[in-house]
Amino acid sequence: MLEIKNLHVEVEGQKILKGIDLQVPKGEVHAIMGPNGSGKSTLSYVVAGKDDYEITEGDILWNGESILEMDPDERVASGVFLAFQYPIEIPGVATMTFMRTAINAVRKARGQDELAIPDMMKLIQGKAKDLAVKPDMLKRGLNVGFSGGEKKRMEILQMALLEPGLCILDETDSGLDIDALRVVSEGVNALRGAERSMLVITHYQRLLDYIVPDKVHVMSDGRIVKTGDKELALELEASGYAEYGEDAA
Amino acid sequence: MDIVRTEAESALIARASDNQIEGPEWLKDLQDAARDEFQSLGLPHRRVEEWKYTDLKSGMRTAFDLADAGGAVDVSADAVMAKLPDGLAEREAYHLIVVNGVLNQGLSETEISGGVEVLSLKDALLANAEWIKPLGAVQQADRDAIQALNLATMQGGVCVRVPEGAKLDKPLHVIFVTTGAGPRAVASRLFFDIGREADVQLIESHVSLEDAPVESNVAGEFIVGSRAKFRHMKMTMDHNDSVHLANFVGRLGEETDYGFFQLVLDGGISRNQFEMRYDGNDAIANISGAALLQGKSHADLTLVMDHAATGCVSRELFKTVLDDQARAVFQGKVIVQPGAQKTDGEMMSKALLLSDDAEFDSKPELEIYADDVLCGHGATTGQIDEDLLFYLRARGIPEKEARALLIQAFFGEALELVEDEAVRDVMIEQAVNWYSKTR
Repeated sequence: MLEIKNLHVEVEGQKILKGIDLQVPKGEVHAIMGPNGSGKSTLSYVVAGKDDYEITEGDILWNGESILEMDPDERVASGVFLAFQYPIEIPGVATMTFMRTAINAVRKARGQDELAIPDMMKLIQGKAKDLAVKPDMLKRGLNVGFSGGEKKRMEILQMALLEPGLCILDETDSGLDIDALRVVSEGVNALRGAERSMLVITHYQRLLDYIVPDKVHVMSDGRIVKTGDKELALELEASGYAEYGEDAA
Repeated sequence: MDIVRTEAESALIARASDNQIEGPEWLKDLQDAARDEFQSLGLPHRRVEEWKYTDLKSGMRTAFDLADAGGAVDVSADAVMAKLPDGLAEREAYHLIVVNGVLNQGLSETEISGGVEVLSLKDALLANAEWIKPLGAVQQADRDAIQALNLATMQGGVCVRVPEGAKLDKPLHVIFVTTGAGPRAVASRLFFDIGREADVQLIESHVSLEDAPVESNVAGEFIVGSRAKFRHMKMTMDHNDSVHLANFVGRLGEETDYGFFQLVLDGGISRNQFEMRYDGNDAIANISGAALLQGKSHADLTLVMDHAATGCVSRELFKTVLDDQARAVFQGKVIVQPGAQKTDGEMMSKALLLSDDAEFDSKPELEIYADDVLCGHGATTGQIDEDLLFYLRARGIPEKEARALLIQAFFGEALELVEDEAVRDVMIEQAVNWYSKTR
């Protein structure tokens, strides 16, 4: 279970998160919606352990233990995974090499045996096929020359391979057409399970047609201002974020 | 005005006064002139424009004793091969072993099919064949002090003549090996006359049998005939208090295809200098490399690409990783002579600084005297991108490994240019080992 308690975060002296309280129990999928600039992405980065954020108050507990002092890679080993809104291109690092390094690093940190290359290839290629990731993409530089949809499928592939207990999806729907959205959502839904918590961050309701949440939270100006069931997303779709501080488009 | 000589200069001048090699009259004249030039120039210093960033007068405190000429030294081929990086000895090649500056015929495979002649410098000069006569005179401009020093002090070397149309079935691998008690100096020379439409690969490596510093001065002269293809790959495995000074001059004939790649891993002070002249139209030259430097290593890469013909292409890509107080110098000049239309020159040098105390000096220059050309250059200096680092760490990769991956990605772009798979793999492994040693 993920528990965020009274979390206050500043970036260069500017208050971004102003007291977030949130609990995502095992087996549940929660969505966070909100206007641009409400602090949604900051929340995801802070949970994943990015530097540059100063936590001035509060705590983040994962399975009952504070993760604030843990390095990003240690958080991954403990089961936290963030799928990036903008996956980063790294020319010169072959996607397959990157994945092998990541999987074995996590296995090692979890006290599991590292996988030999044939087993590793089988594992990666098998999961890649489920997400319609072509073998050719695995040979290319990480995310280099990938379309928006390919990058997001690659994120979900990594998520599937690293077997996290907590999946945070930051605007996974951005830049996707309807077909890509379906493939990515199916990939995410395949990972839903009784032992896994998911936090889906999105600006738009349409993603939640595919990944149906157990709860929806609305975030505005660094706080969670409303919590409801999946119907809340539909209300927001109809009314927009005007009442949460964003001008109507 | 009295000229103040450093200890090293005095020793080098004394070294130059003894001829190390016998040769015909024209060579004696050349060597006499070179000796006078070195005596008047002394070691290059920061007020010599081309040597501004590599001041040997202050950097080279002492000159080491010249190593015993190879004939008298007992060396086994196995001992030499054992000093090569893993995989390089296994790369099938004609091994030419140069011991203390002199080609050791007994250890070398000089019988090469297709009429290729491989001679020691001494034998080539004794034979005094027509093809050897451009030796020492291939460079275009005035000799600099280090070129003069090589000519005046050279102990030996390798002369190769590749007949027209000869396509070598495997590379020539020239292994420069230094041996002797304590620090030693060597001066050696490569001279290649490559016939029209020939195809030659040269692997050049430098090793030392003892764990001791080496002061080496290597000169290479390459005359590449029309439509010939020439690949040259270089690796130095020098002790970190060494001084390595290399000069390569080339004349490229019509439609030649020349490629050079070097991997520099520390090794104290090094300078690799190129002077390539396009004599024939539509030739291509790609001169690239990677350097990984830590400690107080200093690596200088200086090149002049002289376009004297039309439609020629020059490409340079250099990647340098600098840690600690290491320093790298890149000086690249593209000259486009009047009438050298349709020249296409592109030069890029990128440095990755891992420490605040490391320094990268870059001086790209274009001298263009023709109007229908495409020339560009670029240089960047940067640090490891924190966003890339976070992305890798957010996939469970610990910081140290994540940094290593990013560094590998950085120099990997250059290493991909090495066409010979075996040599490329050796270079990649050496580079990766270098990084894991540093942290």
